[in-house]
Amino acid sequence: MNKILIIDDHADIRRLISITLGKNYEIFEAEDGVSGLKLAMQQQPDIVVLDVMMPGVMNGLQVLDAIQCAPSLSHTKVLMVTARGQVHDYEDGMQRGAYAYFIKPFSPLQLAATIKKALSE
Amino acid sequence: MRNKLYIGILLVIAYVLIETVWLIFVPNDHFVPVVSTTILIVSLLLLLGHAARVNKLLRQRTDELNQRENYLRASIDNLPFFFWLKDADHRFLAVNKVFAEACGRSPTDIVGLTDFDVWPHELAEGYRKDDIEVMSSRKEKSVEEPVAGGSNAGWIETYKKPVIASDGNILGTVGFARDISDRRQLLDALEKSELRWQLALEGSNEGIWDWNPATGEVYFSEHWKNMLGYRADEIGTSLDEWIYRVHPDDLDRTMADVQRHLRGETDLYQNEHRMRCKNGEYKWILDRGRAQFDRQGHALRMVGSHSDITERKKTEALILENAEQLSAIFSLSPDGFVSFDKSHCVKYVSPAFTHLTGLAEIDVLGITEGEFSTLLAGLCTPESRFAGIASQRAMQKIQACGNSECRQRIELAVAGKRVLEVSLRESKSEVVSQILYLRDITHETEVDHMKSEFLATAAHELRTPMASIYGFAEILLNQDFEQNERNELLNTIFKQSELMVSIINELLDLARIEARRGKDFTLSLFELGNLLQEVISGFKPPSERTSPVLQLAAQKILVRADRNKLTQALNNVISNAYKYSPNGGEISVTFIQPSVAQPSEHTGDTLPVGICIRDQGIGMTHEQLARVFERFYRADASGAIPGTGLGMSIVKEIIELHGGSVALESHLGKGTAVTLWLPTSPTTETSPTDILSFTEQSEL
Repeated sequence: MNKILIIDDHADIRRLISITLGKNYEIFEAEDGVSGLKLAMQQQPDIVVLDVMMPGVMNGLQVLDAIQCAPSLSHTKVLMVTARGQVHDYEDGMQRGAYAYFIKPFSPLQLAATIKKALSE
Repeated sequence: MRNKLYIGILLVIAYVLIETVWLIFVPNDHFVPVVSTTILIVSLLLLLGHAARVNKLLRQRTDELNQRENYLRASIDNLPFFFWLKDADHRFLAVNKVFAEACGRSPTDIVGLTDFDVWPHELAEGYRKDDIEVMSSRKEKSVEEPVAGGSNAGWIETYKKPVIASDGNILGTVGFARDISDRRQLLDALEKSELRWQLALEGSNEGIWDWNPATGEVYFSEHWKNMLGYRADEIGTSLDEWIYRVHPDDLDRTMADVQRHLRGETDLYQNEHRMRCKNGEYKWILDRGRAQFDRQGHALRMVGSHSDITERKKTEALILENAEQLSAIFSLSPDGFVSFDKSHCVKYVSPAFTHLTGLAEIDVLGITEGEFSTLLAGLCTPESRFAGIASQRAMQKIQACGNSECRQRIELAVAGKRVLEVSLRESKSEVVSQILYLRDITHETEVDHMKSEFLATAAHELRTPMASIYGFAEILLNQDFEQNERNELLNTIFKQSELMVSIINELLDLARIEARRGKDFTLSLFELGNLLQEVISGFKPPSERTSPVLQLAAQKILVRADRNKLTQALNNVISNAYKYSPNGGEISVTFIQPSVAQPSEHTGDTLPVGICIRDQGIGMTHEQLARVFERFYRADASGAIPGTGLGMSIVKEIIELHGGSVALESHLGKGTAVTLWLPTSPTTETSPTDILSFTEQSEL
């Protein structure tokens, strides 16, 4: 089963995504950047769903950069799900290597579809 | 002579008769005829001799008279003026050569003629009239009049006098006339010169002095005296009149200057000193003069003028004052000015310019516009580089915005970013061609930045609950769930909706607080400990955090306040306490009752009370502490800590509108304590005046 890591400080969002994806995937959750990255290194998920604005030492973009650098995570595709909706935020994220960028509020079904597509590639 | 002739003839006749008679009657007597003949011959001889003598005398006399007449005529003819003699019938008895020449005739021809024969009718009439007047009044008359031909041809002075015989009869008139054109011209010139001099003096407002060093006397012109407020008769001719009035502080210097000139060291004497006027006040005078020296170098005479330079001195002082004022204004103005001269080279930079850019006046004085542009551009960040004065000018021209609308925004690459707004103003003045105006908009830019940050943040804050609502709604519509789970999801939607409502309310609150300034507070009297218990029990701390710990005061504390607003304020502070202590720690709420009154706008007799909310979180730096209450200011700008940046400013508004104050204490890395000071009400209660006074306060 494919592993999916959800990193977001809002519990409701994590719940939403987790419920949407259902039992077809192995789902891991983290509340902030540091623990999220740690979990990623541990589990080497296929997909990381990442929020940008999180409290703590690392924000989402820094996590993204870290994931891109980590050789063990070279297969990992990162989907950004964030409230940051400016054009430059989107471009920034895509430039840094995100696979997709979702702006909140987002359609969970579309997110699920994109994950499916990403996994098939 | 004639008489003698008659006598002679009579004698002859008498002789003939006697002889004839004797001869006839006594023909023989020869004695008597001989005697009588002898007597006759002797008498005739005597007579002849006498006659010859008389003749000779006469001739002598005549010769003398002729000679005299010649002398006289020569004198009269050679007199440089007209001369004439007329009889009582206005006929010329004699005229001199000058007169005759003027008529174009010879003197002898004129004798016997009248004025009418010799002069044009009008002139003759005039002369006749004068003659008549002179003869009838028996008085001389002197007239100065222009010559026939107008005054430019010349002036004549005519003098007429009646000739009166010793018996009192008028014999005629004598007159002479002379050309006084020269004299007239001289007089005219003198008059003009005098007038010119007077006008010049008056116009130049100068007083004149003329000093005779030998006698020590000075001529002071009337204007000299008037200038000091004196009449002409109030100042004499002594040098002391001047010395006595020179201001004591100026006297030494003045005398030294005079001496230097008298010694020949200066070509012109010039000195500015104060003179005492009649009214006791002093006037600034410019004293100038020059001496005239003899061969030995002694001063014979010194002449000079006084100019009243009081006005000039006042103007000088005024100009100085203005310059100082402008200088002060420029020094105080936070905006930078750079002015360029006629050839577009830097002429002046204001102190603020130096402060903003680090370029001192000496660094840029005199450089061209192009060099200046390069220099300034070099100080800028690459993204917001100064494009140059020429391009600024072109831009302004193209956009036809005259002087003010087109401004370049540049950013200086200095420590602590600095954003300047640059505009160019062209001048029509001769002295200044253009002024570059640099306005420091760093702060405004930041505020604008914060405001747009705020809007972005506000929008962002709404997105997150929206994401839950939208997301859960979508999956509820597309998937089946068990009843329990479905309810749970619906509940989440509900809660998030509530959160959105509170965010929206907070935004609206802010708008209202800004607009209404607390006029709509509803005040009631309540016990503070009671309120705090309510607030804390109602507050939902973030997950895994404990509720705030409340330590009640020993006694009851009564306040008169708006319950809701106070709750809001407390909630904001408590919420912040949690937000800024992400690593956990206890949030404590305590009461502080000081023994000494707080130094703020507390009124009333009762001591204020402080509600202290303390966290053990990340604390704040000095800068953050200073800006805590700034609208939109967020200590953590990265957005990792959510919030609109309005929370504390709302708290401050609310507390201050209650007549209280907010105090902060923070240590970086250790935590923060926020104390809300509120005025208390005495435990014995309520008079209507209390209500009134408090309402008034809250309307501040």
